Amino acid sequence: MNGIEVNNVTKRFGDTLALNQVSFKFEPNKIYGLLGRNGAGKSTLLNIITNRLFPDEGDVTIEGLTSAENDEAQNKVYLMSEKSLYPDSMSCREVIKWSGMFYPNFDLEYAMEIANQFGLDINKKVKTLSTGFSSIFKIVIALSVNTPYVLFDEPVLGLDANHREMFYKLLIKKYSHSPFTAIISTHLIEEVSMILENVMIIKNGELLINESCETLLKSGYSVSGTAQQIDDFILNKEVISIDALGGLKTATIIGAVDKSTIPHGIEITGLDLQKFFIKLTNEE
Amino acid sequence: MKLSTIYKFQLAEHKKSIIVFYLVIIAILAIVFAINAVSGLISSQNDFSIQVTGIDLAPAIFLFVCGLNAFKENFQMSLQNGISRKSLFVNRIVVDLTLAVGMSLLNQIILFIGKSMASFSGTIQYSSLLEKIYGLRYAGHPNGLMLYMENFLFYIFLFAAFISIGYFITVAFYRMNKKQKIAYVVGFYILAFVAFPLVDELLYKLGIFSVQISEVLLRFLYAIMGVSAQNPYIAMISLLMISIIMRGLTWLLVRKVGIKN
Repeated sequence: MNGIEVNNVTKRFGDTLALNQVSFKFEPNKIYGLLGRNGAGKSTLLNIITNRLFPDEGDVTIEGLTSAENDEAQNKVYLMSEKSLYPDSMSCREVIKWSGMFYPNFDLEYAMEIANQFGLDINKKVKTLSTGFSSIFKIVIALSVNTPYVLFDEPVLGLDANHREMFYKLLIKKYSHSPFTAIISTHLIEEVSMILENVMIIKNGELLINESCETLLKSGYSVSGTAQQIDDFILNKEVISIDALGGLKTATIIGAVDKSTIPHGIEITGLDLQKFFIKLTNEE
Repeated sequence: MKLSTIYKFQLAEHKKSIIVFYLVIIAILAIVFAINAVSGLISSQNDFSIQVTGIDLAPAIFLFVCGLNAFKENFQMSLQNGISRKSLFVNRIVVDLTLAVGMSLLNQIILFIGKSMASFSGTIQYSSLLEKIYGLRYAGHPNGLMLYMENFLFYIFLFAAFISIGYFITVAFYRMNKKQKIAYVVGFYILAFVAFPLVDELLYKLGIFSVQISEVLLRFLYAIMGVSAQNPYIAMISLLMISIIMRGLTWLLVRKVGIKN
């Protein structure tokens, strides 16, 4: 009964079907990437797991406990949402203090340490934080709550490259030190693909892919070379994207690679997850 | 642990405003007594008199406003920290009862101090609202223990009712969309301040009703507040019922409310 189980969840907003009979399981101690285009239903799903919204149909269990209106189940999960739910008039320091009271395993010392690393002024009021620092502030709390399941909804929104790297490093460090389930909903697929163990892709409220990142990356490859070489090579292959620059071309291909058939001069690299994602989620 | 934390969190948000409120009340009373003292010095006449009545009702208005501001932030903070709607709702009632009991107690202390100072000055008449409404009951015992006891109980129920009404309104507004909010505010204003007085007056003047509806409502209010019977316990029961009804309606609105973007 471990993990978060989502069973046949459907959610509508008026005429919009945000989630349609979605079922899957988040296993304990894994890092998941929850990917999907805008409006795919990612945030709705995370909000349902954390009791912020009720599903129209279906249910969610957290370690066997019903998630809806259950304090015990909700005690095991934390959602860092895109929208801040903390009182605007409070300072970051006050919110961190209260978070420490709400979550018994909250690491106050660690929160202060990483806030300092990110350069977050914890005396500032929540409402005065820029988009980037608002994300940092929420990251600080999310990495300090020490719940078995931490859900990140667009965690790097507004963050510069340095802060994004810092976040990924801290997440990996924390995960290595004491594993937990991290579910990262993001658009920055290329960046996050390095740390993911499992990938879930949602399209129009339905689960399209639920695979280990390794399996997914093995499902295709990219080839680069001169335009003529690539054009010849991709004949009769399932090509999901082609990029051309000057006389050079790069093609992303779905299928197993047979290295013995690769002509001299063509370079092979792993599957570009972002291109794969774009191909999968493009509207027909 | 989380449950006591959400109780503390909700209570803490009222701390500053309560301090400011009582500072204002103390300042008003200080000004009244200062004016009285100065007037006594510059006037040789003894007929100068100040009446202080119903200042003990001010916390009810204050708590009504507290109720109006007590939902959105607490609800969001609860969901962010894994507190269910049910736990928030139950803890809200406990917070409101704490506020009602605490402020009723403070009311009695202020009443006692006010009455004591008034008795020294001789030119100030200081009385509670209860003495005005149930004058016959307390006639001849302006400082009796019964007055303070009943005053204390009465204000617990009154404050609890006011805060529950304020809380219900704010939850109802949270559930409404923009159009519904406008329709509600405009509709309420038209109904209460235009349509009702007009209909009331017309029906009476045209002879359809022999007594005005407002008069009937006033009599009903007197009855449920125990004014006619000069019994504050009737009012306490009525106020308790109002609180229960408001809480019941609030729960119906809260139990399925989702987060708003």
